[in-house]
Amino acid sequence: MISQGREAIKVGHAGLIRDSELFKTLAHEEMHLRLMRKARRGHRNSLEVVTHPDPLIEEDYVERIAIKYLRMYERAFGKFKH
Amino acid sequence: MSVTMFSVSYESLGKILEQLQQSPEVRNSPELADHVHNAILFHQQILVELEGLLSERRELEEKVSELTREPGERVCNQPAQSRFVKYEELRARGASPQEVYRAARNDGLDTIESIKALRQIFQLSLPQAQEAVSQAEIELRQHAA
Repeated sequence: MISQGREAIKVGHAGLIRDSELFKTLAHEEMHLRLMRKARRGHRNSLEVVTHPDPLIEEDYVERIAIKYLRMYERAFGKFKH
Repeated sequence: MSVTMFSVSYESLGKILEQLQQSPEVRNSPELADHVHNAILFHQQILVELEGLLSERRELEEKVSELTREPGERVCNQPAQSRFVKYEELRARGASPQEVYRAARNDGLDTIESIKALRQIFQLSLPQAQEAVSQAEIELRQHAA
């Protein structure tokens, strides 16, 4: 069992299609970890999301934030060329 | 002499061959019709073999993924249907949320995962699951004392 503090992200081939996808995947997975950390600290909304019976709720939430990060990055540094 | 190269997918090639077979030129020439018919048969045979290989590849990828995954590791966008099967069976046998929580904790699940299991199995809201957890914790302390 993965213990607290040992959580890590593994990115598979699907995330390596292009740079923008890799960026979004990393942000997406990082959000899962941050959400879990906040839930462990007792943050009610995070706990609601990570323990929701429908796992798509958490997936949709972190994906929306990952897309937001991607748009922010592209606004600041320009679009990914690949 | 110029050579024109076409790049077509396997699915398109099948449709192209079927259209060729229906064309008047092929219908009027038994030799051409025979060639196209053989090509269609060959294409179908290759397609079956290709699908078999792709299916084997998917199975191997899943096996490698399972072997390299640590217990408790999650994969995004893949429903973990079997994760709480054991606790669903417990519930089917009449176990209460408190009993399921204790079983989950004994199996090494942390509090959050245990709450998730309770919510999924008993369709509880977060406050209801938290209430069940506090009751189970009180019972555990009483047993220990």
